[in-house]
Amino acid sequence: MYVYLPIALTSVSLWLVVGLGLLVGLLSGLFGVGGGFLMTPLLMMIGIPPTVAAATDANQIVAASASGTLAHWRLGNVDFKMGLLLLVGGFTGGALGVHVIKVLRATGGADFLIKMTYVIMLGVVGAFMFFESLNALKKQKAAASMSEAELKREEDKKKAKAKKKGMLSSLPFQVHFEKSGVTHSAILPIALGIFVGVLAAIMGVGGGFLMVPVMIYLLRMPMHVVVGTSLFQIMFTCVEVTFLQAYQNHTVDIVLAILLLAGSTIGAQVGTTLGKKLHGDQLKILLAIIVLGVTVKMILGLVLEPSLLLAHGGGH
Amino acid sequence: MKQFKKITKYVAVSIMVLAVGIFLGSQAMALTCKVSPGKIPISLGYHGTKVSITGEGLTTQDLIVQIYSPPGEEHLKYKGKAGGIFWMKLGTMIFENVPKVYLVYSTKDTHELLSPDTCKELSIGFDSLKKKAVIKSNLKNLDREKWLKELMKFKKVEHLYLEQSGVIKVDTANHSYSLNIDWPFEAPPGEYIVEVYAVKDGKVVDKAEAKIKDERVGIEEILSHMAFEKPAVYGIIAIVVAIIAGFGVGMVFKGGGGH
Repeated sequence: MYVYLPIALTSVSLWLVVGLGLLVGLLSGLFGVGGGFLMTPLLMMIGIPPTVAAATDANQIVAASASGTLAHWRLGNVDFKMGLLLLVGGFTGGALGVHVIKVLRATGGADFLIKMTYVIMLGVVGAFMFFESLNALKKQKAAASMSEAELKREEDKKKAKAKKKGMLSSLPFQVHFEKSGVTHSAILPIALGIFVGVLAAIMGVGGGFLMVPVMIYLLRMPMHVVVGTSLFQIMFTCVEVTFLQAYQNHTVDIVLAILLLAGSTIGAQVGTTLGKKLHGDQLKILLAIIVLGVTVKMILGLVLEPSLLLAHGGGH
Repeated sequence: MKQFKKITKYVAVSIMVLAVGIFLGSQAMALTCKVSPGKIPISLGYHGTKVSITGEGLTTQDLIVQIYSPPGEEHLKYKGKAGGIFWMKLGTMIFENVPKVYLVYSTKDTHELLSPDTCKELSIGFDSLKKKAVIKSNLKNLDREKWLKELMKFKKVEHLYLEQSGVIKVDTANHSYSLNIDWPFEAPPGEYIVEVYAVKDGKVVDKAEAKIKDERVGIEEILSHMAFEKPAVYGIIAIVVAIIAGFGVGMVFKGGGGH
């Protein structure tokens, strides 16, 4: 069964597209990422023009993240306070990033920078998460065989480490985030939001795969709250992107978006349910493997000579 | 006198009959071209269609049928090695005077049927297309031949350019021909020209023309019109649909996903 896409100007298999949506929605519910870094290249592989693929992906992420946010909110996994502060930073960073890209395009060399930023960020984030989660899993095994005295010593060490935060805790506007169980200056999530927003705008992605590690490692939020809060934040970012793409570039294909979201909204729910059954570190290591896999694919694409030396504009 | 009038009448009638005969005969000999369907509706379930091109009045055994969209500009990105290591899009390449769609069918290879000069003169075949194309790019030392070859390759992968021989059925007894093609769904909406050339001894002896119109209908037309004419409304609808679908599915899964 085929469906013709009015903006992409091509015909696609209904089940293939719904299946893609289901797969990426599953990852979204599991890890709190929008999945743009996976979906856009997949859509391009089935013949969707890059500009339409990126814009329509943002549209379907609105649905998947709304579905995921609702599921996580029911589980008590959304830190709205933190999410709003990150969002303020993300919007500011996004606007800054768009400006940076404009300047770079004018001076040339923007594409090289985009591609390199993409590969380096994916590689660094993926490798860091992979080894960190692997260590955590090893430690858990070791902890299981530790005596009570040893466990107490480890706890004390952690507390001492936490006190060393010093500089960050001396920042003004300290806020306690009940849901995440952490206390930070409001400046910290806003600044991190700006940082991710700038990078996301440069790379042309939602930034979920960057925001998730930032929340885990820099904001020290528990993994399950990270997923719900990230989805909440992504939903708003993608609403903004969808509108701008539809209004300025006419590249949102609503028919394609509906097919994708039919799969992704269900996938997000299944992913959330599945995520409950997995340990935080297991989730992290799975996400790290996916991110590293995409990095390897991108590096191969950069090094091997392509079969076609001409391409449509846009995309990653 | 009466006899003379009678003879004159007979001669006049005979001349008229002869004239009508010659006229009808010449009509029967002219090459025709009929495309079915002449209008291809692009609806929601569209995935390309079968198009049949038939005609009569064929006095030769060889034919060339070419279908193309009016020549225009094609804006593409060219790839190359950045820093001598990484393959990536390096800049824009504009191909001018090239059709978006170009399909050529013939009884034999076009090179066997017509000389390169005739092909160029009548704009038949890929070589003539290459000769007429203009490339604009900031790429230094642009190798015209290489990039035109790349354009052909790119378009063929997209199913928008095609050259096929031995697919036209010629019925010499009935002076007719027929060609059945798979119209590519990748062909954008628009009007296409169908040209049929009857070829004999390296020369075009007859020509016929028809048109194919590929147009969006129903919901496809409404959505496309809205996306370009009312983009703000279209964007808001896209967002609202996504939010409703997301929350809607979330509600349905309440039992499974909740506490």
